[in-house]
Amino acid sequence: MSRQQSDTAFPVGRIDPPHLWPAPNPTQGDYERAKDKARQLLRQIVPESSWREFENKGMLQIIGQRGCYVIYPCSQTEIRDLKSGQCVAFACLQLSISAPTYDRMVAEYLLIKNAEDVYWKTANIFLRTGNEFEIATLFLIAFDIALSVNLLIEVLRYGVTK
Amino acid sequence: MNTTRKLRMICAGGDKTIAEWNDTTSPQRLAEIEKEFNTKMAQGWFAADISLDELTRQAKDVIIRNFDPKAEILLIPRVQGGRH
Repeated sequence: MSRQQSDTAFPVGRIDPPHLWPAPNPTQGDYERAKDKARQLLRQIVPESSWREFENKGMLQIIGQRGCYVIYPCSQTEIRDLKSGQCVAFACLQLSISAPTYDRMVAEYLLIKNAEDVYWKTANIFLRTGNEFEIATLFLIAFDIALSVNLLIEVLRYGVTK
Repeated sequence: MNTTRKLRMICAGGDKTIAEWNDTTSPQRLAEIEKEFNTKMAQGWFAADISLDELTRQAKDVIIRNFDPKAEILLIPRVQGGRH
């Protein structure tokens, strides 16, 4: 059988989906089907152990050179310190097209695994300093103490003058 | 073994297969598929070889820059930083 004939015998070529989507008015069923397909793709991409973890805990963990990444379906990716395990930053990455959230997880997983530096350059990274919160908390505590002391002094002064 | 391989792309409705080929596919058809691959790459998409590794029985998950007719390929749209 020649090459040309075998191409005809085996229908390899462009395969169009049963119906093009996004359709003008996608139904809830369309969204659900897309979500299921994306979930299946994610399952195919990640190792079995990661998939089990995802099913149990709802997140994917990937150890990289610069940190441990925890990817969630519906929130920003956490970047944790490799030694302490503490969250040091949040990363936000999105696909340039509208696609199910699991597809974004696939993209993040592949980028972190293969091109971590590109991931850092592309995603918006929000460092979690923690110090701002601590300083603000200390300031509020000091302010509350000052107010309490002031109140106590006022009460005592009022008692003396009476 | 005459394995069928696919060029898949992520789109709004999940992923879809845009081309399939096997060992008997003509070089002309493969060239067409490669052209399609290169067009997407030029648009900023990136590609991963998601073929099953024979040893580990897991996806290879390697980012590729050139079309590999021996690989199962997933095309992923351009990514960008998201909002806080």
